[in-house]
Amino acid sequence: MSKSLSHPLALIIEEIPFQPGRSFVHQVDSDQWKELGLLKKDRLLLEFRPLKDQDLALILHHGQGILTRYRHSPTPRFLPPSPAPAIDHTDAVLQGVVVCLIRTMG
Amino acid sequence: MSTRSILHLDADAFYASVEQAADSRLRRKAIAVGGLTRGIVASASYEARARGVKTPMPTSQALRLCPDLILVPADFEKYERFSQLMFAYAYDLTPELEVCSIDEGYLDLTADRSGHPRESALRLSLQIKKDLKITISQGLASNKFCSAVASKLKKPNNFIEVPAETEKEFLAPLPVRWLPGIGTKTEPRYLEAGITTIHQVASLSLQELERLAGSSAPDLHLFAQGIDSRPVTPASADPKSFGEQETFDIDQVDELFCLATLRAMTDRLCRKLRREGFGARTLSLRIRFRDMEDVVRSDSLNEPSPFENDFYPLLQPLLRRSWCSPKPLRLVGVRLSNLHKYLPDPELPLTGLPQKSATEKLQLADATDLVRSRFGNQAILRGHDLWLRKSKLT
Repeated sequence: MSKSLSHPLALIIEEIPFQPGRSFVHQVDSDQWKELGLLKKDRLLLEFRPLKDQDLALILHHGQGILTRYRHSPTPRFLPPSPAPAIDHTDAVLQGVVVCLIRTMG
Repeated sequence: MSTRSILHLDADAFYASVEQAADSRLRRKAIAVGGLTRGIVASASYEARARGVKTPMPTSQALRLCPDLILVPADFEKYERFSQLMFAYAYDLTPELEVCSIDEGYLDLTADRSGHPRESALRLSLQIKKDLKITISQGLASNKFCSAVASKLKKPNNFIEVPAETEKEFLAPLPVRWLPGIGTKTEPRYLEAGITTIHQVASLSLQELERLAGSSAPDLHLFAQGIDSRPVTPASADPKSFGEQETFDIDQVDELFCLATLRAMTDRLCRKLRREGFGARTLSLRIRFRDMEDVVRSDSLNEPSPFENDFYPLLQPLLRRSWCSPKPLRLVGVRLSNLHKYLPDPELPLTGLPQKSATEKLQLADATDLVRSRFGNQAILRGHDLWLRKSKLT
């Protein structure tokens, strides 16, 4: 039995995708977000809510899910990990703001 | 009874619109979702519809009508996410929300706090358009039937309100095919009898209508008068899944027995799926150990399916991943979720093996379901059913 399954929150996390609402669990499936401090197999609890400056946001751009930093000024835009250029907010659609990192240890 | 305010929300060309929202390069272009594995268009953008592309339509025919059509593979996970976000806005208005499918739902706004259901509906539409970049059509009326018709009458991005006491007049001029249960197969019967509009159906006596509609005549008669007392039924904990679980008489250590039980459950759940016209994409397996510890593991198919055969390969790996400890099992359960309307095959014969295979699979499953409903579940047994029966006898 892996340690994560023994954790009292494990069942709640597993249930999130089945609950109606604004929260989602998104699995990081590669190491491409290292720059943002995220590792492969990390899971992110996302919340769909209005964006604030500096939010870590999952967006869809050109059909792909991308984790970005939202910057509100001087113009609303999403900043993907370098060296990718900034994405105008009208060119993307928000999927959720990262509110919690779920990392399985051991 | 006081007048209700029922809002029907219907997303426009949902799969195609989501793809256009997710990729700005596809916006304002003729695109179609699907067509790559099953050979049929599952959803077409309004730009493609303007060129004659419809659903379900064979891809080859769609490409003949619209040579620059962009085909996009279906990404059901994306559609499920958008659906959940769309309904999250609806939940802001009322908990009285009945999600009918991935892109349709009813809201009972009778107790709307603002007292202005129309304004609430328009605000909902604007929020979804602004944040999700998809459009919805809505109908507001005193009952579910009229609100659903209103939402579908002039798509896309539309809102129609049917004032109370005008339901019958609203429906009267519409063709009979707008009535529930009257489709492409049954409509000719009405047309042959000279009945083309809902007004004519409303004018028939119940006895006359029974000759055409049989046992559904009483309901149909009420619908034609604009009367529908069905409540909006908010689903319980999980509105969009089918599940089953079984507590064993004796705690189990036999993987084969557990697997056979899980397969039999999956059979029954898939039968339910087919009966409701759905396919599921995600299978979740739950086990409970003797010490009451629960483990849940899920896996998803790339495309939704109503066939148990497609889910069988997921069961054993999930069971092994979950059952990592030598403890006996007290309970096993299966849940099928992420449901999608299973796309009916077009009537045209199609070329290409995958499509033919899907049609045949559905026909075979329907025939099996029919035999079981007439002669009992034991009439047709799979290998695991035989195995379970033998285990229970010994």
